[in-house]
Amino acid sequence: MHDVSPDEALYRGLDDEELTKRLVYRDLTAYRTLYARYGNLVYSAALRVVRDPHVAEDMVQEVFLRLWRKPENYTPARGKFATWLTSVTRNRAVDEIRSRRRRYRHEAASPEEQERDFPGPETDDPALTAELSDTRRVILTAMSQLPQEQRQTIELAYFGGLTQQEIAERLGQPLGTVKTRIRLGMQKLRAALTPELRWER
Amino acid sequence: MGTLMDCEQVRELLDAYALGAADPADAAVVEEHVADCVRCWGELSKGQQTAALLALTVHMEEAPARLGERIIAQAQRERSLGTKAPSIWSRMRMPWPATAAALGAASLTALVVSAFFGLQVQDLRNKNSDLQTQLASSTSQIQQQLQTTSKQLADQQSIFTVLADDHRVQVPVTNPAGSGSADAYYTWSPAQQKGFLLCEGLPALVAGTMFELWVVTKSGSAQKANPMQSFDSSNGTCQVTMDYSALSGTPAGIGITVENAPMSASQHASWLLYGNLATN
Repeated sequence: MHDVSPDEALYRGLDDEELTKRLVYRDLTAYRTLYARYGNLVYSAALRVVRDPHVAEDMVQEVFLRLWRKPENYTPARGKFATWLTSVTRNRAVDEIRSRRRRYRHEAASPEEQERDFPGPETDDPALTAELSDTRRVILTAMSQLPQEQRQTIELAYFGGLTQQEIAERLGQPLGTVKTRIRLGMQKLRAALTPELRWER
Repeated sequence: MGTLMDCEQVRELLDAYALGAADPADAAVVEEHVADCVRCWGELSKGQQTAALLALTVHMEEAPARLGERIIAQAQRERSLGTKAPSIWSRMRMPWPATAAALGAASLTALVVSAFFGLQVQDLRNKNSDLQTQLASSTSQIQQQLQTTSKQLADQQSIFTVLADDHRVQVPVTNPAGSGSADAYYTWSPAQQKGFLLCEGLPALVAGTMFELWVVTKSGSAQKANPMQSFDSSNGTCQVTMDYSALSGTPAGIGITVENAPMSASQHASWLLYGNLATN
């Protein structure tokens, strides 16, 4: 975007918690640094859910503006900043598509479309920090190891914003089957994640 | 339906709930159950952490350059548009004991708390309706700076605890040289080992510096206290609650410095504001 000033070079060495602390003091350089760090990730999460680049941009703007106005909404008790920020984005985006579905009767993405969006474990972004890349690799591996129908169901739920009932209708499956797939899939994910990641709280 | 569900039945619903995919009836069951059941709440928490990690599995796309420019520009605009709010302190500046006599101690307490934290009238407890009417008219005159968050609700509780102590101490926290416009009042309860600090007129910070709050013990060591996260740079006000029951040593003073290094563990700068806490 522009030449890096000495200030910005210094800020790049600060961790997320330090940067969010500075947001309280209206530190624009801290804000810039956080956007440089996580702008793409937030955009990608929004895009995955809303599937429209312009709407995704609006979501990113909203998420970052909320962060600027109320930095105290994030505390370390809520987990790692990157995870928190991305899941907040997903939550907001799901609210948005659910609202649009009610208003415009938009169709949810098909399981095939959802399938195409799922990257293999090799996918990586050089912009991500080493720690975040590691975390991503662990969760991606865990997801790729799930039986396809369990993974698909979880994705329809999490990124498609569908309820279990809606998923059952969409796939033409019994509700009980959907519930079981979600439970077993999440169970496997938790088991895969436990040795790698310390549970916060 | 008000059917009570046991933990095993609720556990079956937790994963879907964590993903945001629970049907409304199931969601209601989960919410009602975890409100009382710590074990299931813990299980739900793990499910939610797992779900949050799923957000990281998205395929990475590059956001358009203009988006970042827009976002930064908007923050920049909001920062420079911040209007200087009328000084909270000057409105509140009344000799506390005298006012206590005039309004009655309980109402003064409530007035101070509501002024600084903009409490909704219904958030106040154990107040009679006369007091509520009085407060409703006064909170509307006072600029609301802070939005209530769960942390601030906990802070409000701490403040009530301090104010409930009839032997609480109020200490002016001032610039040792008598210069500058910064000013503060620290109200604390030695018995409860809790206090709250209200500041005003804090100077704007140079990039790379931060306010740090310290408690100085009788032995002279300065220990870092709660982060001053509620600093409002548009009017230089700040509010901090402190629970120093975990402090090693007896508190003798409280002070604020402007530090250079990020997250410095020991005090380097001289006191911007200092208040003497030693009781007898």
